[in-house]
Parts: sequence; structure tokens; C-alpha cells
Amino acid sequence: MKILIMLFAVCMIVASLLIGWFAQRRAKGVQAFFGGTALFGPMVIGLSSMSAILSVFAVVGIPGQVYASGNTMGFWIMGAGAFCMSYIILGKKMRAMAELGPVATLGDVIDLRFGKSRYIKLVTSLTLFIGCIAYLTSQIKGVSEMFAHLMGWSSMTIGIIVFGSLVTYMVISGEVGGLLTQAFQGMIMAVAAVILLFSLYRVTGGMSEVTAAVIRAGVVSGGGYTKEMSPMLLNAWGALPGAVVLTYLFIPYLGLLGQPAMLTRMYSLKNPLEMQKLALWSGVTHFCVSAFCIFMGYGALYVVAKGLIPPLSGPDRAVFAVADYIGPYAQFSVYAITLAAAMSSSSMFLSLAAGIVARDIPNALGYNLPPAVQIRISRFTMCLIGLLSIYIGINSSQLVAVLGTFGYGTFMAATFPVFVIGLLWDHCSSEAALSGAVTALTMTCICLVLNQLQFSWPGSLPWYTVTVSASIAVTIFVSLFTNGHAGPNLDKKIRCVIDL
Amino acid sequence: MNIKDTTLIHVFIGLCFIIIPILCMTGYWPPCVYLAALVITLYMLLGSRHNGRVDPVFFCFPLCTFFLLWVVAFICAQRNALPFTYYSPENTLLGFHPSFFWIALLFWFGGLLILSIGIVKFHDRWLPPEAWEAFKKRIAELNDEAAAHDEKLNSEAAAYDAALNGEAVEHHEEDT
Repeated sequence: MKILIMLFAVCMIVASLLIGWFAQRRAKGVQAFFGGTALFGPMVIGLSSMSAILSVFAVVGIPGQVYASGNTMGFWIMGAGAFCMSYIILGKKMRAMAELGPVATLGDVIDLRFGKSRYIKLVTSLTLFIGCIAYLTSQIKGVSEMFAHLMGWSSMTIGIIVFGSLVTYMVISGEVGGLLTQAFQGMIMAVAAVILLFSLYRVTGGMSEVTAAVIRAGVVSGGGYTKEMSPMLLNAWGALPGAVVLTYLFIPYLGLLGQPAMLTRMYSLKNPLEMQKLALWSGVTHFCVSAFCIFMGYGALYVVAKGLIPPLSGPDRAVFAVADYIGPYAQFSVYAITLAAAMSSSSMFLSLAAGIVARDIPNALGYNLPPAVQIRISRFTMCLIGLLSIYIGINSSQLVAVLGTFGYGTFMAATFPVFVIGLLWDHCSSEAALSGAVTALTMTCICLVLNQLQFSWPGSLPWYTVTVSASIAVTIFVSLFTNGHAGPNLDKKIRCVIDL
Repeated sequence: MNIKDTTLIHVFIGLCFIIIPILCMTGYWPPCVYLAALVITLYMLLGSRHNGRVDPVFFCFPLCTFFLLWVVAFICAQRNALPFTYYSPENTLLGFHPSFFWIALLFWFGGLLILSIGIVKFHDRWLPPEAWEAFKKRIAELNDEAAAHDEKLNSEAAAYDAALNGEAVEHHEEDT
């Protein structure tokens, strides 16, 4: 089985490299290299959005959390409908921005909307950059440790092989190759998820059996570990506090709209009149993978409740424990889905971070570099960030843990004021967007320190709910008293986008 | 359905983002799930506006339908969660815990289904092809206007420079 998994991993890496090589022909110019702007159809964009959104945390962490505390964390991933929601809210407006001028990165959209505001661009880019590095290091750490454990090799060797190949094809083909490989990896994830769902059904006999087993189990002990089964694990809200339920229900659903993987893909779509097909591709495939994540968690509860395996040493073992129990093809599918999730998310964040360093930050600081220089800097940055992330991800667990707290909520807090409110409301001023972006960055840093000091918000409210809420509220209320690039001072073309 | 000025809606959303964390921190989280559904629906309403107008059909389906579906999901989930917090339910729904069943069916699958059908069936009401063409035409016109304006400014600047140079030459000739 180890050899089969290794062969599959090698095949996937080689296929990704080949796709990257094939895609380099289309990566001409900054718009194609950084953004793949207006280049692809709904299937490629839909699969790439889905795979870039679902990281290792989703496919390994969520089943573990469902096993540990029931459905509370399941809400995080029950967001298949959020793809349609995101396109309804912002799809046509974001795509329309690509018609106003050259759009290669999110920074270019900020330039167009807020009249080349350097400060908004700088603050938003910095927050996005920190979020990218955070995601990248955690993906590398997760996958390297998992495959190192399986193969008996060092994490560094695995990290260099897997993510070194990823850096190679991203350097060759930029975001064009990134989008195509993510679509390929997304297809693997969806197919593997469906296979696992069927095999899980065959093994458990369906939810009736799972529910019955968990209800009857009581306290299960074995292998030095104990698991207490309770009806709370099966109900809608799970066993965590209500504030956590609300956060996981609300923030990821609406927050999907603020993820760079969604925003950048909206302007990568060739024909905006096909956005409904894009919604279908991403929504349906996300539903398959999210069903896998949730039901693998319930599968873990079933096998432990039935006494088929001893209680797990840690929640993150859930998905692998169920796969080991089901059999070789399930093990194979789980490793495939995890590797695909890690590679797709990492390539998206690598490309985004390189675009920020090569294009957005120099531009925000007043340097307009020629396109060829931007692409050269971006390629160099991808190599540098890639290698640094591999080193940090594998050697500095503490730093990864600190960075890991930046993530989904940070992206939402940073992008919502600028892109969502900015493109939906003609009264959203540049002063307000800057205030919102600064609030997001400042509060994220403050909450990060508070987190390290073991501070807990009342009601166990996750900190990013506070950060996201503050940045959105500040943007809206500051807009009421300011009018830079808003109301009567709004550019005519931006008004056309808002009215579209 | 005309919604020309969206300021009130945005202010309401801003207030929701203040109220929701406060309610959660004070332990009154159940009403927040309904506010969350409302905020998401309002954002979709804002996103589906075209020239200050929301298509009434698109407003009813999928927007209002989605909101009602989520409200029903939350009511059913809460009703069936409370009695079985510490006791196992006597009856399950298709094998699911009766509270999780409604969330899986209406919140998760139902949300995807309604919004997918809505955008696939009524995409012409959300973004009519002629509206996209009109948008592109308008942007081209504005670009032409801006180019003509720039050209005019450039020619005026050139004429001004030429005039200044002419004066300078005259002064130079007078001086010599």
C-alpha cells in the first residue's frame, strides 16, 4: 500500500509539473502570469476555487473535530451553497472590474476602486501576505509530517520533494499553471471523496447504524485512551459553546466571499455570462468533499463506538483511522485527497504572496516596475518564499502554531471592507476602506498577542468574529462621515460596476 | 423592486455586526443565527441589484426562499436539540439525530440546492446578457471620452507651451 500511495503521489506531482509546463505558453504578460485574468471557463475555475479553498485543515482537521465535539465544527464546511452566494453577491461586479483596466492582482482592483490609494493597497496587501505565509507553512507542515510518518523518510525530504515540485511548476507558469493544476487536483479530491463516501456507507450501513452505535456506546476505553459518547455529538449544534456554533455557521459561509481563492477566480472567468456554471461546478464538488469530511468524522465515532478500533490518540487521527479500517483503497483515497488539498491551497497562496511582493507592495510604495521585471521578481520570490516556508513549516512548530491563528477570519477581515463593501456600496469611501483595513490588521495582531496570553473572549467567542465584525462595522460607519472616492466623488466607471 | 439608495441596508448590516458578537458574548446566541441568515440574504439582495432595481422573481426565488429555508432549518434544529441535550432521541429521521437532520437537509443541502437552481434558472435576471453588453459599451464610451479629454488637455498644453515659447522668442528678439 505504501508503494501504491507513493506511486500515486509521484504521478500527481509529475502530472502537475506537466500541466505547469503546458500552461507556460499561456502565461504571457502580467495579467495572465499573476491573475490568469479572463482566461478560463467555468469548469477549470470552479474546480480550482473549490480545491484552493479546501486545505489540509478541512480534509484532516474537520473529521477530527466532528469526532471530538460533534457537528459544531461541521458547520465550518457545510458551505457548498456559499459558492453560489458569493457569485450572486460579487461575481459580476468583480468580473466587471477586469473590463475597466488591467487587473492582474487584487491590488489592481483596489487601485481601480479607490483611485490608486497607496495606503489601502499597502495595508490590505500586508495582511493578505501574512495570511498567505500562515496558510503555506501550515499546509507544508501537515503534509510533510503525514507522508514522513507513512514513508519513514524525514519531513524535510518530503517537504522538498512535494513542495519543491510545486514551486517549480508555479515558477514556470505562474497563476495560469496554478489554476490548471488546482482544477486537476480538485477533480481528484471530488472523485476520491465520492469513492470514500460509498465505501463508508458500505462499512457502516448508513447514519441509522452510526446514530444507534453512538447512542448505545457510553464511555469507550482501549489502547490507553477513553472516549465519552453522548447525544450531544449527534445533534445539530455539537458539544461546543453556542458562540462557537454561531461563528462556525456564519463566518465561514459569508467569509468564503472574502477568500482570495474566490475573489481572484471571479476575474479569471472568461465569460461572465457563464457564472452560473461556475457556481454549479464549485458548489457540487465542494458538497462532495464536505460530505466526505463530515461523514468521515461520524465514521470515526462509529468504529470507536462499536469497539472496532480503540479510541483515537488525537482527533487528527480520525480520517486515517477510518481509512485504515475500511481498507487499502480508502487509505489510498485519503492520502490522495490530502495531498491534492495541500498542493492546491499552497499553490494559490504561493502565487498570491509572490504577486503581492512583486507587484502590489512596490506599486503601493511608489515604484512602477516594468512587467518583465515584475515577473522576474515574482519567480524569484516564489522560490524564496517556497524554500523559507518549507524550512519554517518543518523546523519551527511554535512559529507555525502562532501563524496558524491567522487564516480564514484574517482574510475575511482584510478583504471585506475593500472588495465587498467597496464594490456593493457607492458611499464606501477610501477613508472608510482604509480604516477597515487598518482595523483588521491591528485587531488581528492584538488578538494574536491576547491568544498567546491565553486570553479567552466572553462566551468562548472565537477572536476572529470580533476582528471581522469590527472591520466591517468601522468601514460602514466611517463611510457615513467621509466621501473620498464615494458618493459624488465616485468615478463614473466604478458607478457603472456598482450599478451592474 | 427599486432600491436606489442602499445606505440604510448597509447601516443595518453594520449594526448586526455589532449586535451579533455582543449577544454571543453575553450568551444569547440563538437569535444570532437568524440575524446571520438575514445579513447573508441582504448581501445577496445588494449583489443582485441592477441599476438600483432587484428583479422581483429573483427576489422571491432564490433570495427569500433561501432565507425562509434557513429560518425553518434553525427552528427545527433548535426544537429538536434542546429536549435531547442529555438524552438520546427515541426516533431518528432517516437515521440522523432529529436536530442534525434539519440542518443537513435544509441548511446544507437545501441552501446549495435553492441557490444553485436560482442562479442557473434565473441567471438572465441576475445578469441579463444585454446588461453586460451595455456595460461594456458604456465603459468603452467613457474610455473614449477620457481619451478625448486627455487629447484636448494635451493639445491645450501644447498650444500654451507654443505660446510661451513664441513670447520668449519675441522677448529674446526685442532684447537683442
